[in-house]
Amino acid sequence: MKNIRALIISTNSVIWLVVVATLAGEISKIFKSLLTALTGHHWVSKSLLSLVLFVVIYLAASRGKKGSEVKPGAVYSLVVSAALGAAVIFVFFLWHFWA
Amino acid sequence: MVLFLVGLHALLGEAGGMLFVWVFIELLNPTASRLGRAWIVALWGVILLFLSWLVGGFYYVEFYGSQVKPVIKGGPMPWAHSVVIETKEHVFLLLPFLALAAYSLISHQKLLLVDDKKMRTAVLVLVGLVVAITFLMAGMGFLVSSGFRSALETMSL
Repeated sequence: MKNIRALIISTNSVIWLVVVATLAGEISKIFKSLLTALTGHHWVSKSLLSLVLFVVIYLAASRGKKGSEVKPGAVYSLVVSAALGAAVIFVFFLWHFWA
Repeated sequence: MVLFLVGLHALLGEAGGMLFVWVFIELLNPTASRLGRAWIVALWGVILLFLSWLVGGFYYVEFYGSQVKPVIKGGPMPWAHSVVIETKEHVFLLLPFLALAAYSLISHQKLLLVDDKKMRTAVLVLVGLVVAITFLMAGMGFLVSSGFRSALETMSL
């Protein structure tokens, strides 16, 4: 992937899509049913949506902009997003189990 | 079939993680030849993690829900499903994309990583995160298997 700036934007977007879709799927039965109806299994739908969103956002963010300049802060944004997103998911399911 | 799929999923995932450990080591004191190796090894790491996604996903959809989940939930460690697998199956989704980002940064930045210490440190942290999440997946997989095993033991008593 040549446009690093677009790659970081699309990866960050996927991270938060997964977090939001995960929580929404547990909170809203309607949303989970929609995900299930899409491919037959909610997790497969989340996987597919992640891939599609990644590609769509990468292509959109790549249009007409050079992507060669990336600062370390952009890389750290991925690290923070992933760590925070994973923590949110874990804490949510922990709370969901004990509640 | 089930054991084979679980084993293959774990093997692919952990092999991918080990390859990123290799990448991490190559990036600690980079030279042109070390960066060349890091790039190829990272690419293979990405491929293995995507394959692990496919194999694990197939097992999860076709077998786990019907054969494993109800046993765990009925056993002494129901949290092995409700907390551990639920976390694992969703956090895993971040991993292939993070690995792809790490590979692309190494491929794109190339020799800049030799001189640009700040960017090199950032990429090292990202690669380290990929390694950490991969091994976290293995640990969580162990907990789920333990939950299943303990439930079977309870059933047999």
